[in-house]
Amino acid sequence: MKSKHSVKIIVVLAVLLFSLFYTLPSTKMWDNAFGTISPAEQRAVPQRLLEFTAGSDGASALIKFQVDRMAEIFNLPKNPARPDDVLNNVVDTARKAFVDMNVEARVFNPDYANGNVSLRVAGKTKEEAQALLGAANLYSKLPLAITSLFPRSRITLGLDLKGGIDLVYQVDLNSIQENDSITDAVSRSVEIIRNRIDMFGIAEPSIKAQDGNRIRIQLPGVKDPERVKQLIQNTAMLQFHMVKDQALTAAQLEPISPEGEIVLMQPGTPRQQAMWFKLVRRPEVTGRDLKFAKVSFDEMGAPIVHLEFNAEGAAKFAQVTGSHIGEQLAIVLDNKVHSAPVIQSRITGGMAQITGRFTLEEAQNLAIVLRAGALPASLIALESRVVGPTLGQESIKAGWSAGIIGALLVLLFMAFFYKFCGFLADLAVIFNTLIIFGVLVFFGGTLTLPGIAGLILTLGFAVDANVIIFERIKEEFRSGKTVRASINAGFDRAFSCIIDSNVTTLLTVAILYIFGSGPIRGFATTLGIGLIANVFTAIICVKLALDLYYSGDRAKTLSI
Amino acid sequence: MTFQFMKNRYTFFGLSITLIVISILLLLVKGLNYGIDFKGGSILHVRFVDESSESKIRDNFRQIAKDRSLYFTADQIVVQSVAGGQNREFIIQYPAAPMDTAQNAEVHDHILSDLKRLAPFSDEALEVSNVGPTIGDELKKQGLQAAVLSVVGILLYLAYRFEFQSATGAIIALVHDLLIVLGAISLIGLEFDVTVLAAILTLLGYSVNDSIVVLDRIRENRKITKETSFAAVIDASINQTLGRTLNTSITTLLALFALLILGGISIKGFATTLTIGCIIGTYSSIFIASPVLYEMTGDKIGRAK
Repeated sequence: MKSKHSVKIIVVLAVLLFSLFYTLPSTKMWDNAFGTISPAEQRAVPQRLLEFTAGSDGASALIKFQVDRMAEIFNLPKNPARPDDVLNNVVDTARKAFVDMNVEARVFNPDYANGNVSLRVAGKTKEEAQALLGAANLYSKLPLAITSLFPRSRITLGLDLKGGIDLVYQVDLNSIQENDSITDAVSRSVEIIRNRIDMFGIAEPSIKAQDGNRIRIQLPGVKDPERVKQLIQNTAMLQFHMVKDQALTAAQLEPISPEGEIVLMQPGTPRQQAMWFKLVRRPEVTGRDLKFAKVSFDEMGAPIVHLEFNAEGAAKFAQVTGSHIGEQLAIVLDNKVHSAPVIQSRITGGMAQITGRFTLEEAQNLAIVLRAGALPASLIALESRVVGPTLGQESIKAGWSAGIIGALLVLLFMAFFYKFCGFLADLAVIFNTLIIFGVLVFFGGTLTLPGIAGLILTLGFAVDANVIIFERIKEEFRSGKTVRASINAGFDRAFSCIIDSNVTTLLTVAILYIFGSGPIRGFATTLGIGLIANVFTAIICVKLALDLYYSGDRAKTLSI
Repeated sequence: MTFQFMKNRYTFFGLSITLIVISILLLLVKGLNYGIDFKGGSILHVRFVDESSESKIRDNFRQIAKDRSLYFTADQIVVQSVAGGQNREFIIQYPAAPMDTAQNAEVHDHILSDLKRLAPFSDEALEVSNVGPTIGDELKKQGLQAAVLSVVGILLYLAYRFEFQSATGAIIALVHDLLIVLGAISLIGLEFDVTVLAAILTLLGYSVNDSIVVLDRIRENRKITKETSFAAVIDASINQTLGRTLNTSITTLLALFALLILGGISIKGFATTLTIGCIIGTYSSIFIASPVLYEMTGDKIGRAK
């Protein structure tokens, strides 16, 4: 008897430790004590990362970032970090921190090779800028920006709580090249979208091919959904065509020969009218010949996209520019003419630039999609769900207060109705909740809003097994058995009932998990874990507590 | 104190049959108010900087529809003011395009940016969902499959653990709960979305869970009873488990009420469905499951199993 108890005690303590171990890092308390990144990790960020100098005008500050060591230290686990992606992210985070505080900050001179970049902060002195960036707590924000560099087990919040994007696309079969297989096109699209998203730097993306030529993309915590959607949807087919003619309307163009020529439009902007071009149908050079693309800045500080071709592309480019000096070469992106510069001289070395008509963000997007490659087919959006971070925050708050109040009501009811035994059941309910969180973190499950609802439902449900047992103990006790005999009989008799009733509920929960997606799956997860934990706490823990408490002298009266 | 459940069973059968008939009629005549998850369409949940109203929003949509030559008119949108949103927070729904094409995605982006331009948001949009018509149809099919699979799974498990008549009693109680809850959802016009479907599937488990506790007791009492009539065994069993049935329902309802009142708008449909279901499920486990078992077995106690 004694040894049986000690085994149980060890098991219960182990489960308790396990739950605490995985639950605590997700709490606010933990953050307050240790920060969102650990002290060791903070020390790992080189102190020389930021360098503040006064601007030449005296009224602005320059912040210089040294990022190459960052790439070395924070080597991304899955995709080897390209220093410039890390650079973009770090600078982006800093820039956003300033923008959030209504301070204008401009990025310039990015040097991707050496990982240096400067940020000009207008209207602030060196010291003010330093203080502001300090207040923005940049260090604690960096890990988020540089994707999941610190795999600390924390609870994963679903898109509906964290905010984020959930997209379902269908690969447009009509747009697939004739010699391309459908499955191949889908899997290549997934790969390319993944590359684009990794380069953009979003933590924990999920990009999966599904049945029916579909691709599901889930991106948590995205602040700029429109931009990210553009990043995904753009086919990014880059082609260079020789220009035959241009005019303000399609009708004004010279007649075309459909086999050899095409007509494409350059969309208008507020400052420029739309233009129509007659182009040679066969492209001279395409994005397939691209080796690299990156954002850089021209003498005016305007963003440009710098292209670097591979050997084959460079040769083609040199050949075409050499033989067409003085003619126009149209840069065509996704079947729209971006620009049509005049060829000034033969371009060797395989470098080219796309200039003009960009904001910094557009240029960054373009560089990313070009680098990641063109999609083999265009995408049809079947479903798009964007949850802003505000709603997520509010949902968490609402769920939290509903959970606290719900829990209190249930706990009070149990303590009132079943006295001391009810109090034990209350402890079991709290333990149960802890286990749900712990297991959720351990298995990397996702907490969604319906998941929180499932958790609250479990609070009400979790006492069920205890209620069944307690009612049974009461009955046995009334029939004249001793306290200990009643407790044992109560547990024995209630056992089959508890198993049967939980198995059927688990069955429906399993079906929900299989059929549901996203938020619903989160619900099934918490409810499922809750049901199993419930059986454990009710049958093992409460029994153990009752056995330990009602031994010896105390086993004369039963508080139930 | 013991209650005579069996004596009054026909009263409750009558009540249940009436409720079921009303529910079926409601489902046939009024139907379910499907959300965009199932019928396709778009939802914009936004908070405006300035106070707004349904007619103002409709006017804005009239403008957008004119500028963009949209596939729907401003009269087709549904505007819902969010309670506690100080006339600034609204949920706007508009229908799905007739088919999925590559252009649709752009249309939605245009509508959002136009609306933002006409009436600025205080934040980014709280929630923007666009569901094409294809996905909705598939989801309906999947939901139905999941429900059928659940019922069959439960039936198989019950048939394995209990004898056929008990299993049938539990399943009839389950179908009873399902129909009445669907009827109630139709009656109050609750928007039927994925979370409501999840709530209903959960109820299937919950309803059977409740019935099992009683049936398990009957199974046990049959073996040891000194009573001579099965009706008396059933009455005794229901009475013995009554405390548990009520207490579990009360704790579950307490948690659900907290969720219903404090859980926020996104979870309202889910909490409402579960609350209704919890009440109906408790009722059926007491008044339907075991009496059905009795009707099928007759008054023989049958200690065989």
